[in-house]
Amino acid sequence: MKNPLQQELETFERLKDQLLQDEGKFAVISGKELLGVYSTYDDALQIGYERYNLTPFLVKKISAVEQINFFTRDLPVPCLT
Amino acid sequence: MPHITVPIDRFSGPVIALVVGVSFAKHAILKKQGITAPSPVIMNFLVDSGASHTVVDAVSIAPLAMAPTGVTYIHTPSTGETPVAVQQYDVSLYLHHPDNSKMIPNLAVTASDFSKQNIQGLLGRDVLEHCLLVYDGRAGSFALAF
Repeated sequence: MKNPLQQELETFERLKDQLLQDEGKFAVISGKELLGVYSTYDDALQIGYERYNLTPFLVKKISAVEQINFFTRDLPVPCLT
Repeated sequence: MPHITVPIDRFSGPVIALVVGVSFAKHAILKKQGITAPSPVIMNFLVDSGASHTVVDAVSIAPLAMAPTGVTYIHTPSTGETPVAVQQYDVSLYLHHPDNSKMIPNLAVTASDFSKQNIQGLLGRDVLEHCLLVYDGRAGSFALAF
């Protein structure tokens, strides 16, 4: 399955060293543009929608080590490539 | 602390009905554009302390016309050594209580297929960390305080 936010993820990775100055906060990215960094998920999401409306954008927590979510049961989810 | 007590389902376990809607952030922008937000959906969630975050059934949330706003990585018993990337969606979650209902206005969830499991989602520790959960197996009920 193709990742519709692939370009945004690549932008996040490209800017990661810079973003890590705000580790723990949330980055909002659309395409190659970093809109900003916000303290809470709620703020990031709200400002993302206000700026980009219904066009794709990414909200991602800034962390030096990617946070992995664990499940004790199998989940048939479409994996992204 | 308000709480609700629910019988433990004989087959599915501790299951609770929650209302899932578009996130408040998305609702606000839809309203601003004169678009009617999709109606929220009532879904049965398994209270799952083995799930680090909340998951919803992909078919059940289809009426909400969700678009992903995040990507996260997950490990399950079958993912092997490498976690897999999955999409995240922003939703609101509402738990009804006669006196003090609980609303989470913006919550990042992932979607999966629960069509064969008699539930429509997993209520994970991202929500449970704000609650008190008591599982009383002998009484055949559980209580969730929030």
